[in-house]
Amino acid sequence: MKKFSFITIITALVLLVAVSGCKKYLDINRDEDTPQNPDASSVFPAMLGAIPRGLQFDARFASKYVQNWVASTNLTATFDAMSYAGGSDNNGDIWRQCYFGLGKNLDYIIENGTTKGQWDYVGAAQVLKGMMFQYATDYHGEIIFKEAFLPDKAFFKYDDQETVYAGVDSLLRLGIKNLSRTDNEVSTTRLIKGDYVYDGNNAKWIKFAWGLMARIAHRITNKATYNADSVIAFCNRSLTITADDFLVPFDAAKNDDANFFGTFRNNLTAYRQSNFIVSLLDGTTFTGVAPTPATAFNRDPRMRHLLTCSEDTANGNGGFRGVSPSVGDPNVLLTGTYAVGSANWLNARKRVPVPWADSTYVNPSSSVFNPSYRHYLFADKVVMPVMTASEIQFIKAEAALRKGDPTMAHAAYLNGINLHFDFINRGTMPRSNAVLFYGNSISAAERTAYLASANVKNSPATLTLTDIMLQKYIALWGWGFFETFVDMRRYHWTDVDPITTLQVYKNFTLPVLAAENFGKPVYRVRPRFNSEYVWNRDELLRIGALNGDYHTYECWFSKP
Amino acid sequence: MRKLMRILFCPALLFISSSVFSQNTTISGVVIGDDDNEPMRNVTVTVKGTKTATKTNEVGYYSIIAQKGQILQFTYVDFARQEIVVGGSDAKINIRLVQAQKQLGEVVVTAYGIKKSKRELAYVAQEVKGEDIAQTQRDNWLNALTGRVAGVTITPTAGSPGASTSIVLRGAVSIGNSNSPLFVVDGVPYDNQTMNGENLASAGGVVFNNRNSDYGNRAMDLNSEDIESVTILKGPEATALYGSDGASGAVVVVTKKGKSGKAIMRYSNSFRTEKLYMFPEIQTTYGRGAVGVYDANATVNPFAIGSIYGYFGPKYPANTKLYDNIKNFFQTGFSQRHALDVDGGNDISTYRFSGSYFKQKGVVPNDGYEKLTFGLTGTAKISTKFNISTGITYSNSTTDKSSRGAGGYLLNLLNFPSDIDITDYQNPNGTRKLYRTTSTTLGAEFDNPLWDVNKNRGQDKTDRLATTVTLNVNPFKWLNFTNIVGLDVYSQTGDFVFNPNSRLAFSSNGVYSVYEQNTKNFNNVFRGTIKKNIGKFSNTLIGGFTNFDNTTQIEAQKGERFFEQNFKSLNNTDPLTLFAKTTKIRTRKVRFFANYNLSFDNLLYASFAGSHEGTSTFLSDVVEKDPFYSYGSAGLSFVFGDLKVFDKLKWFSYGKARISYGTTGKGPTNPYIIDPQFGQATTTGGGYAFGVTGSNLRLGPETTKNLEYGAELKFFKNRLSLDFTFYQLKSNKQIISNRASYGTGAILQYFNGGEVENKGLEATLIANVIKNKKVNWDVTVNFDRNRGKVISLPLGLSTYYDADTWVFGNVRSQVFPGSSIGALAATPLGRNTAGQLLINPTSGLPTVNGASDFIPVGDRQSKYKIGLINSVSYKNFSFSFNLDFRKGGDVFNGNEYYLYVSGLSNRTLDRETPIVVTGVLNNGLQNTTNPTNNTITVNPYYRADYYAAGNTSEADFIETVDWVRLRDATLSYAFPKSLLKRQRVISSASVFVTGTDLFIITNYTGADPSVNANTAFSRGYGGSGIDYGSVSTPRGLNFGFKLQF
Repeated sequence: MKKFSFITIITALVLLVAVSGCKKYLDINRDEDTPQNPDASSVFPAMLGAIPRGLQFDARFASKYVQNWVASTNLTATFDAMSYAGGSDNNGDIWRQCYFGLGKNLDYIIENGTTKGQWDYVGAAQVLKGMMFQYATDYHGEIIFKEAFLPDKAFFKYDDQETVYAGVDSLLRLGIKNLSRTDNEVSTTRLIKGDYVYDGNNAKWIKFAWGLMARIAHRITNKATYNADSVIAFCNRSLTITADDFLVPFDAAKNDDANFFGTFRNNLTAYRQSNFIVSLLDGTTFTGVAPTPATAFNRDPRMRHLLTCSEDTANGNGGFRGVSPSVGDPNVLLTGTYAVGSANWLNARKRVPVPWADSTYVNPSSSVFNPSYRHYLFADKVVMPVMTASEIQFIKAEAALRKGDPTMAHAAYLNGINLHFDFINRGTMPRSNAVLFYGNSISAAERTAYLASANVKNSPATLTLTDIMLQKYIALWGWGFFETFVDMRRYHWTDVDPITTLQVYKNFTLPVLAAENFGKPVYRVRPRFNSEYVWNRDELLRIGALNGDYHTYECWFSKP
Repeated sequence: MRKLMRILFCPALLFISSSVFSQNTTISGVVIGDDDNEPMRNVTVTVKGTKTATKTNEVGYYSIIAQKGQILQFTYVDFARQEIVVGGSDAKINIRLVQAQKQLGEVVVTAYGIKKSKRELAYVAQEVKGEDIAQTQRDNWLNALTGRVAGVTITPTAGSPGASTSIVLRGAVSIGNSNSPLFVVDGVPYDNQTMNGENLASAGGVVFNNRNSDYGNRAMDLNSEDIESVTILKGPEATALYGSDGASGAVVVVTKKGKSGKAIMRYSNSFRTEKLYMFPEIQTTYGRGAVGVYDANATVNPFAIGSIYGYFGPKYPANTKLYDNIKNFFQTGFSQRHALDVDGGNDISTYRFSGSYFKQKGVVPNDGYEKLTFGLTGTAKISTKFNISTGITYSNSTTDKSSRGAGGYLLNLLNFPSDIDITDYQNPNGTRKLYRTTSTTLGAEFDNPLWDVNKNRGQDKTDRLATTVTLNVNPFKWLNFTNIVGLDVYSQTGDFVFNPNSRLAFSSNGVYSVYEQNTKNFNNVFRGTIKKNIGKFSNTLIGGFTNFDNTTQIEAQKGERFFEQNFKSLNNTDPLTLFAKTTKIRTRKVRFFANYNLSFDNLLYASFAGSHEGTSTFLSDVVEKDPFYSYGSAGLSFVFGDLKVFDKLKWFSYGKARISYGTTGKGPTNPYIIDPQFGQATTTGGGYAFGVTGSNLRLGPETTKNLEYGAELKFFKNRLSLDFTFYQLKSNKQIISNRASYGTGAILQYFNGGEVENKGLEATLIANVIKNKKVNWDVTVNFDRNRGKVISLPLGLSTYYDADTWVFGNVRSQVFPGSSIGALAATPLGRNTAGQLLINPTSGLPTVNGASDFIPVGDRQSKYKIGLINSVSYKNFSFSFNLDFRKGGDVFNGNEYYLYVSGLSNRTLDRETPIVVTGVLNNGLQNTTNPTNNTITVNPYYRADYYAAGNTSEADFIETVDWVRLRDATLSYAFPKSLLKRQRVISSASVFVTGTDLFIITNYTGADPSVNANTAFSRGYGGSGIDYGSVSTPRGLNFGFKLQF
């Protein structure tokens, strides 16, 4: 027994020493390949890179709602008909981007940056967080806001839009406050390291944040609480020149860093420019005159930079043709070789080209980087805009006109058009991305001629909401799908301007709506399928999102 | 040895022989131990059926009064009971008692190499002998365990060389984590990883995930000739000691050691041919086309897997030459194995050297597997109190493979036109022959499978060195210290090339992917054992600690856009496309364990075990977390058969009842899931962003509660034995990454939650049917039945599914609260509230429900399984075979579904018969009391949509499968000693013929129901029971001989 107790004591001692040493031995649970506590500057570039993913993925659908593009054939016309794809994640990427792509990462930057005194990162992350929730609620209506990212939760309550916009407003104000701070901890990495959009320029970030403030303040034009003065004030603090534009550039070295709209990634093969945009740019809509060679002076010089023309250019406007929703290009199947001069040959030459190049009907370089195929924002190595100075001027113009200040409105309207010309003409792009103009930039003479043409109102007295909204539509065409979607919903697609008694979106016709729309146009997008319809159904039931026509429920922001 | 067992097990004989005469005689004699020739003391001598009994004295002498015809019983613990009929004139009966090692006192190796007698185990521990495994000649020895142990489920990924095999004991206890048991070789864990394809650098259109490529399971590196025995531990106590590693059970391997005596050399070989005999069937009536119109380029694209030929054209013209391309594609495989070992030694030291070489050419052209192993073990007694044993094994293997699953050769082969000769795939100048003449790009040219297996190749090479050193110190008779150090180091390198002219890599102009995995596992186990007997009580206390350090690092690179079309190298790719990825997985564990065993009179055994474990995967840099948690077990074993009451029952030889209960704790298997986990962003500007799976600072250990009870009974002098076990396992607070709302900030999120219950019965019946000098016939029947059920999911989530298993159509491994753990879910056809099929009033066809409506449509768990092993020896011949029965269990015949939607399934042969699908129109009245019956006639022949995925339910391709398969059969002949006496070199020689997978009798309509759509890397229930794109197991025939020098 004596021996036994001796052994016991020894064993106990050994164990005691061992246990205390053990925790140190075990303390290796940190990833040696990928940091688990990266600096804000390492996470930030991934956030910028994540912005186009959500916007461009969902642009495939929103672009059809607003008729920037339509489907090349009537076979894939679900979204042309303002419907949705059930049981699919299509149109769920803004959701993904809001909660996953940026989402929690931004909270990480905010927390981590706060402890290190990196106020520039904290502020920029708050601005981006505000932006993401703004996009998500604009798009989906009710969304998860207050409960987002709470730990140990699998089901989440939705908040109404009023709550979310208020939350976005405070996030933006916090962001502006932090970006304005001058007491950044000097020893830490500054915003310039990770910020390849504004190169760490706090002032531009602040302008961008005010632009977002302007957007949300301007959402509620139909409400009595709408305050045009605030919107104008926000616009005045926002982007003013093209150098302020928020453009996310692409490196186009491999698939993941190439533009989703470029030929390499091949996502636009089945997309065609709509008749609506063609008639805005060829003068038909603004001047009311059908294009003929004789009225070529009515053509917008921006057209050849934005749109692509067919082989057959003898249609009166230089061969620019469009497609109507749910109809498709009637000649799309004429892909063969036909006898010169035959009917098929003639019709084949009238086919509407793909967005990448004139007279081109299939993707010329899928999975191959070929810089020669590019048109406007549809190339492998160009930028994806998120907000431009031009857009801000149109917001201001609309607010001023609503306020009853046509002079201010007219000035902003002209600024907006000019800034869009500047945008196209911009000679240098962030991260050495390709320029947007096709061939040569637009000459001063062309611009002057256009501004003097019947397309543009040259007096404040004649300026209408139609002029502002349609010019804004052009300026945002090909990138500002979601803002245009908000605008058109604010005007309930076909609202009539009480002053002109004409439809604000002149010549815009609703497509033949899908059966599940029950005669109503689209007003919101269903939450992401594989996030919400599979995993958060009870909440969807509560808000009615399980109903087949949920996408036609008008959102709070556009209601009176 | 078992010379006394001459009487057949018919009890009647025993009674006849014990006829009664009343004539008292005094019988006396001496009892001697057969092993050491020493007199045995305290042997109980009983006159059977009476209370007359005595015991032998110090010199083994006894004296007892009995009558002629009565039976004297001699019993002693751990010795075989002997019975002698008292003859008329007997006065002296001397007895030699044989130690009943093989029957009663069998020793098994349990956790940490602790040896325990089978009597005292409170749980079931079944053992398979190494020679039985080696005899099956399997290239992956795990496949030899099928049917040999109750409660073991073995699923090979495919029948191709070097394929991984997954093993699950009892049932899957984890919803989304690994259910693979721990492998322990000579007391130290042996890494049985299967490389995770997700750690490779993905490349454009070519994905390297766990459904397209297989990387083997590393336990196959063991040389089966080196295995002495394999013990399968499933019970609570066994796993409670192994803790988190053993929560899914343990496979304990003991390797052969040298035996003292003259050096013996053995050589054996085996030559094998193998041939496929299970094929999916395709129809050869209708050719390519659509809606009954011939079109050589007609395609279908079910589930957007990429276009494949559509066979909805007219019948082949009568004179069409059709080829049996499927059979012409495969070849006869050939393999050879050579094994050599030498062992010897003396009282102080022993050694054993072994070497083996295996080379296999598979049934798929260019597929092969090659393995070379060396092993050296030695034991040495340094003093009476100190001995040491060491082992080193080296293995080197190479697997040549082609891709499987979607895009792999098998599916292309099934879809290949029967009117084109598959062997005609090259032009005379060596370029590729094109079939789809209008294709403008090679991306639309479907790969001829022969082209594919020649041009798109993968190879894995493994170099592995595993060493163990065991030190034993016995300072006192009652005290022992053992320390085992194990170091297991290996590197696996591999590559995969997709030729620029192949369909998958055409757009990227070639894809080349390489990886290198380096693994280092260090393990140390220290234990002390104290044994003390106090009266009839014997006590054993074992205590110790163990620590593990596991490091795996994977470096993967890929490149695209080849310069030289047929050159495999990263240097041959466009530098802009180069991409590299590093994955380092590092875990450590520490465990303190204690095990107290108490036995009373060798009759009643109690055992208590406890562990205190610390896991590195719990630690955080963000919050303070305790890495330690505890668990334990208790068990009771009662050898009631030794009670006096049972002495009367002549036919009853042994009886043991046992019960045990234990808990097991488990930390996260994956490291770095507590603190935020970032991934490399590949978007412009790079950087880091949270990965798709959200980490969780609050994770705690999962626990499994395990109750087991059963009995072991032996009859007729141990010639018939039955061992049965009931068990119940409850695993809760599981650590799983479940999909949830993106509101979590991630796509999958780690949660603690969910509960799985497994209940089952295992039974083993062993009968020695015939035993005489010439013939011996042993039958073993292993039976098991397991029901695994998901009780709940974390936080009340509605479902969990494994995206890896979603290989074709809408079928995937998916569980729901209340469902089987092995459930398959799919989207069924729409039905009204009365259950009638809903018919689209426009098309006249049923439609599949939306993707949100996945419901359980199958249960892959079998009702029961039976392994029937027979071994018969007659003179110098011996014959054994292993029949494997399975009743029930669903299999998704994905190949058939694939054939169905492309018009190649025999189910599409009735396409010219117009039909009206029975159901009601989905016209608004479907849920009223008066729905409209469908009367729309459809003619499938002219309808592009009839066989389309949207109108067909995967549930129709789920089959409940029964099978009987002859897993292996061996006939061998040992040359008689008389023959060998003429020379001195060879001391024994034998020849054998072994057949593997000789036949299957099944109701399964596909090829092989025992395949896995994923690899052994699978988590949760995995991809077993999903038959899609995997080649079936070939039939193999081995010949060889064994020599001993």
